[in-house]
Order: sequence, then C-alpha cells, then structure tokens
Amino acid sequence: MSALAKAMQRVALPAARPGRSPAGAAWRRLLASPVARAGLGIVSAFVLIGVLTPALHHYEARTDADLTLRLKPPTGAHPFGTDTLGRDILVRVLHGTRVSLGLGVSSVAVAAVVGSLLGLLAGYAGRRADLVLMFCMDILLAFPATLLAIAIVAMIGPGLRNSLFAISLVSIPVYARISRSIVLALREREFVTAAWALGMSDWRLLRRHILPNCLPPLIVQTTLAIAFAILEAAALGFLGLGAQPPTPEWGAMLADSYKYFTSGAWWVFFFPGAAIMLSVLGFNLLGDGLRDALDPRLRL
Amino acid sequence: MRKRTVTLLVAAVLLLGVAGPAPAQTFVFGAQGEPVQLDPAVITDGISSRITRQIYDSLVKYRGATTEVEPALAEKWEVSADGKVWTFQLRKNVKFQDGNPLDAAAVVWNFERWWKSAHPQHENQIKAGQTFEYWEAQFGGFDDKSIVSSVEAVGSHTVRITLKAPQAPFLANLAMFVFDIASPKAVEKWGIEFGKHPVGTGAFRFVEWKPNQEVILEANPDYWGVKPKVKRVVVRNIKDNSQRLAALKAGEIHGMEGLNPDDVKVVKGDPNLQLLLRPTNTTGYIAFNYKVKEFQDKRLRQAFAHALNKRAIVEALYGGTGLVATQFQPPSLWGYNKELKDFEHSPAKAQDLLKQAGFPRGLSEITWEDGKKEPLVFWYMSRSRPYFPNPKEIAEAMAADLAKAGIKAQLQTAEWAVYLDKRKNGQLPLYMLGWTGDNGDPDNFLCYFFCAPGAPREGFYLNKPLADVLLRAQSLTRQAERARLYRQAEQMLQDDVGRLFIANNQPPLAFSRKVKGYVTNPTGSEHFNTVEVQ
Repeated sequence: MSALAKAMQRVALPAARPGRSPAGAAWRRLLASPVARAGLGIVSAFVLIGVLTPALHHYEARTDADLTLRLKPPTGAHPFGTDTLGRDILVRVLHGTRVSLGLGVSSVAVAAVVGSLLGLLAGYAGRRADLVLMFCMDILLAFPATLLAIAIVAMIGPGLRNSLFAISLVSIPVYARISRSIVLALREREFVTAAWALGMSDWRLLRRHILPNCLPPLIVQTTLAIAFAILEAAALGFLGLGAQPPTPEWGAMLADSYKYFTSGAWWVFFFPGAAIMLSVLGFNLLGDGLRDALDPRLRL
Repeated sequence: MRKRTVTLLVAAVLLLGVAGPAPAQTFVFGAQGEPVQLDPAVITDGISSRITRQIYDSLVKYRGATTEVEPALAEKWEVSADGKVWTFQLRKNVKFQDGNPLDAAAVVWNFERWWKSAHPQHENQIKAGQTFEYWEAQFGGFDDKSIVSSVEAVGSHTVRITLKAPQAPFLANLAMFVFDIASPKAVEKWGIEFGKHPVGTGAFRFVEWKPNQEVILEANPDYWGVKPKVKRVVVRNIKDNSQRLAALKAGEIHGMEGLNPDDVKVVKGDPNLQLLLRPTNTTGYIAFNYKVKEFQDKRLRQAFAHALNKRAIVEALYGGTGLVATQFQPPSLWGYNKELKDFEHSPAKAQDLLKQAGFPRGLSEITWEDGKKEPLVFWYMSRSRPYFPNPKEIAEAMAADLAKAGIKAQLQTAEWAVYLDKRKNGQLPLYMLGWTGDNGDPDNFLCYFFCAPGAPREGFYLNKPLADVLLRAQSLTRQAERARLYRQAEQMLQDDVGRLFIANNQPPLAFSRKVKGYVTNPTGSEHFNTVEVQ
C-alpha cells in the first residue's frame, strides 16, 4: 500500500525527478538559493560555536571578574572589549551561544513535538477531542506570546529551566494548529481514503502517510520558531527573568550593559546585541529558504 | 501705520536681544519615578518627599548642607532641665496656602493626627491601607505606647510637648519630612484624598499632578522665609537613569538625581552641566541570617569579611563618589569611630578561616536551624539605591570575590516590594541592603537596626549587650557621652562581625550650569526656594 502512497507523493512533488528522494530534491533546491545558503551558513556557524566552545575552552563564570580591567575597549587581548566587571566579552558571547541557542532550540523542540502530536490527535480524532484541544490552544493564543511567557515565569519563578518551560508552552499552539489543519486537509484526500478503505490501521496511517506530509510545514515553522524563541529568551533575560547572573546569556548581557550607552562604552551592548541579531537573522533566512524548498507549489 | 508696527517690532526684538535672556521662570527637576502621594505624614519614599518638602514646613529644619537644626515654623524653643518638656514659640503671621492661619491649634491638631489612632484623620488613613510608619519608628508607637505624653496649645502661638522620658534626637526627629505641618482644614476637607490636594505653608503651592508625567508647583508669594526665585517648579517623572540624563543634556530638565555611576564622568566632562554631591549619609551592607547554622560560626563570618575586596568594588563601581565603609555609621556622623580598622582583603585568610570552621572544600550549601538544607543563595537588590547604585554589578563582583575564596553563592533577586517583605520576615539567608539616614543622629542608624535583638527583619541577629549600649545612648542628652557609646557600639558590632558594611556613597546630582543656589543636604531634604535658573 505504501507504494501507492509513494506514487501519490511523487505526483504531488512534480519537481522531483525519478530516482531522487523528495528530501534530496528539497535539499538541492535549498542550496540553489543564495539567501538560504547564507542562512544555513550563519546557523551552522552558531551551532558549531555553541558545541565547540564549551568543549575547547573552560569558562568559570562564577569567579570571572577583574575590576581593574573594567570597560576596556576592544583590543588585541580582548577583541570584543571587556564589560562592567572586567570580563572578556568575546568569551562571554561565545559561551553565551550555548545558553541562548540551547534555550531556543530545546524549547522549540519540546513545543514542536508536543504541539504537533496534539494537532495530529485533534485533527485525526476529531469531534470532542478536537474541540477541547483547540479550545485550549485558542486560550493560549489569545495572549501575546511574550506577555504570556513573562506571566508564566513571574508565576513559577525566574531561571533558565523555567524560561525554557514558558517559551515552549507559548510556542505549542502554532504547531498544534498547523498540524491539525494539514491533517484535516489530508483526511479528505483520495490516497488516505483509499488506504483507510483498504483497512490500514489508524496508527499506521498516521505514521506512514499523514505525519510525513505534515513535516515540511512543521520544519519551516521550527526554524522560524527558533528565531522567535531566541528573541524570547533574550527578552526574558533582559527583564531578569531568564538566566540568572553570572550566566552569560545574550539578553541578560544586553540588559546589564545598555545603560553604558550614555558613557560611550558601545562595545558592551553591541556584541551581545549583534549575536542576537545575527542568529535570529540566520534562522529566519534558513526558514524562508526551507519554505521555498519544501513547498513546491510556490515554484509552479 | 503698518510701517510703524514693523519698526516697533524690530525695536522690540533688538531690545530683547541686547538685554539678553531674562532669568527662566521655571525650574524643571527630573525625578526617578512617580510620587506615591503628597501627604507627608504617611509617605516614606524620597520621590514623594522631594515634592512635599517644597509645599510644607516643619517646626524646625536642617540648616543648609548639614543636619544641624534651625528654626522654621517654630521661631524658638526651650527644653526643661530634665529634657522632658519642650516649649515651641511659633512664627507669627504665617498662613497656610488655603488662607488659614498657622497657630498652636493647627500644630496640636497635626500631632494628634499622627499620634492618636482614634483621630478621624488617622483612622481613615489606616482603613485606606496607609500607615504612620515614621511616627511609630521615631516616637515609639501610637497612643499610650508613644514616648509623647501630651501636646498642648498653651497660647495662640505656643505649643508644649511633654515626653515620658528624654529623647536625645527629639529635635532632629521633628525636622524630618514626615513631621511637616499640614493645613487641618484641608485635611478635613479631602480626607484620604488629601495626598492629591496638598496644602501647607511652604515656599511653593500645589497646582497640578499629571499622573506618570509631572507635578507642577507655583511660588507662594506669601512665603514667610526666603522668597522663591522661580515662578514654577515642575518635577518630571523619568524612570530610566540614562533617559533622564539625555533629557538634561537636551535641556528639557534643569536638574536630576539618580545618576548612573559611570555617568558621573560624563557630567563632569560636559561644559553645560555641573555635578553636585550629597554629603555622605548612607551605608550599604551584607546581612547574615542567624537562623542559618553556618552563619552562627563567627569564623565563617570573618571568612566572608576577608574574602571581599571592598576597595576594588568602591573604586570601580561607584563612579568616584563612594567610600569604603568600616562601620554602619557614615563618616559624617558624630558617633563615627575613626579608630576602627577594616578587615584586610585576603582570600588566603578567608580560606584558612573556612577550614578552621570545618569547610575545607568551601561553602556552597547551608543548613537552616530546622535542618533544611539548600544551596547558598546570595540575594541582591532589584532596584538601585544610593548605597548600592548598581546592585546587580556589585553583587556579581562580591559573589566573584567570595567564589575566589571558596564560598560559592548563587545570585537571586526579587521584585523590590517582595524583596523587602522577605527580608522583613527573615526569609533571606544572605542579602544586601542599606540605609540612608533621616535626621543625622547615630541613633537613626544603629538603634533602628540593633535595638530589638533577635528581630526577624534583622536576620534574627541577637546581640543583647549591643542593644543595651544603644538604648543607654538614646536616653542620654550629652552628645560627648553619647558619641562615646556609639563608638563602642561600632566596635562591638565589628568584633562580632554581625554584619558586613560595604560602602558609603555621596549620591551624585546633575544640573545644568544655568542652575544656581541648589543646596544638597545629607538627608535628601532639599528646598527649591533658593534655586535660581539663569
């Protein structure tokens, strides 16, 4: 039966030539776009930094402070300058990558898995489950995401783990809605009806036919959501609700340093700010590219 | 005809040009936030009192830049030999801004409002959730609990106050902003809304309060004292320190308080601005909670004292206006102990003391008296105060010093009101806070904190001998004798390492060069009637 499904998929993806998997084709289309390549490059660079920095360099944030080196502009010894406690900003931005990116990626991963499963369930089971689940999602969506995240953290207390929880929670409804809408559309398609008529079990139908068809939009949403989550984490950090000092988190670094604007120490807020901007830009470009690559209709 | 008008206009413009700009009629001051309300009796914060001090007068006031007391609404006074009976002669022909006379009856009415919980204008405030906090703190409580036993009008302009026992800082207390005299008629008219319609005898009268923007005052032409030099005063609310400085640079405001430490040099380097410092009257400290078993060991507290590099912190993070604190009183107070030597900064010594106290591998976990263990958390303030102008940075620097000596504390904060509440209930194991003096008397620093041994709000710190010395000092009237006792108290406090005193600050204020005549006062009580804007 899966042969039929594959055939259907092939029809649905006209750009794919015979003998090439849809994923391979999408990848090729992605790399063909210069914008997507730039996004991919930026994202890979940040991921590499996030993974390699803690492995190659040990950083003890707790004892890092040397007030004699306070607010030194960028030099050879400190390429990004030093902050208000005399800490090397380059070191903190690099180590902050793991914190900020890690927070973004993991909160989105949690949200994506939970949200899409809920959406699948709602869309496929329909009726009462659909009503209740989507009602809950609508409640979550009714609040502006940042405000809701702040409210949640204010309730359960500040900290990295709690902000991860808050950001995941506010990102769930989007996934639930996307996957539900796709499931609803797919349910009416002939190949699904055919598979169902031929006696395929619900579980197998979901796994083999519906989920794979949900993936492309979910992947696109995920890359864009990571960008949002990084910003969100920075916002919480900025408000003192996210990472606690002395953890090097970009948003918190920005919050600690923006007041040096008037005294002319631009480097203390420029570099953490640039890191936030670049990483968000990278994920957004990649997300755009992926959307073009994964949605063949846009190319027709 | 038209020609003549033009000529006249040109002449007028030329004349104005030659005469130069006339002195400005408005003084705009940038405040750090919104006043709570403008009824001096129930407020405690500096933002509100900055405004009420312009509208009201107290019986006596602090002279210029000092905490010495000089006449205000009371022209002169005398005290009985036993120090219990005070007789004040009020200034004649002084009127409240609503036209009612300031006489002995009005003063007695104000005292009874502060003091008697059954007074209708006291009761209604309590019901509305307000408290007469300072009266309670300075005069022992309400009704029978108070040190005041009677307040009477013995003539149309003579008030006699009788105390149950002599109180050395009595006169200095009366100069505090909370004991400003309000118009009884206005208070009765507005009730709990009086804080929005303030009426006093001061140099400026209230015009308008635009919420979250500004409070507007205008000169009181009938003022009894130095006549105001500007027609209007505008106190504008700009919360962010950097934004407020930007407004000053742009000429939107003429003066401000709450300067970021690193902006001190910006103000010094700007030819259009001038920097004024308030004489130091403020001390920042770290307090231990004595319900934590580890902190009951003096060697451990000494380890903390030796681990901190206070000099480096004060030099780097106070913008040059800070001083290293060796004791609770700032050096400006007459009870200050000059002989006291500070703990030497020595991580090695700190590690050694930790080892002696039984923590060879350092301290990262604490045990409460009820046996509950938890990671050591060092609480830092979420709001900038004069004694810790940038609390988060200072806390991070101190935590790094502690970590270098093996004391690994996690940093945590809470919203300001929650923070103060947790502190009051004795829930913070280790925290930073400070104090700004109200009246220039050492009693206001030491006794407020250490006269009630074991109080939860002071981390259950129990030092009975210290409290005895402080209470004795309070009951004496001769300053030399009292000073000796306060010096002794500071020595006892240091010997016991009861608390870690970090820094004093001279809070910086910034003004446009056009402003003349602003006099800073250690208590922060500053009167705008001497201010001139050119």
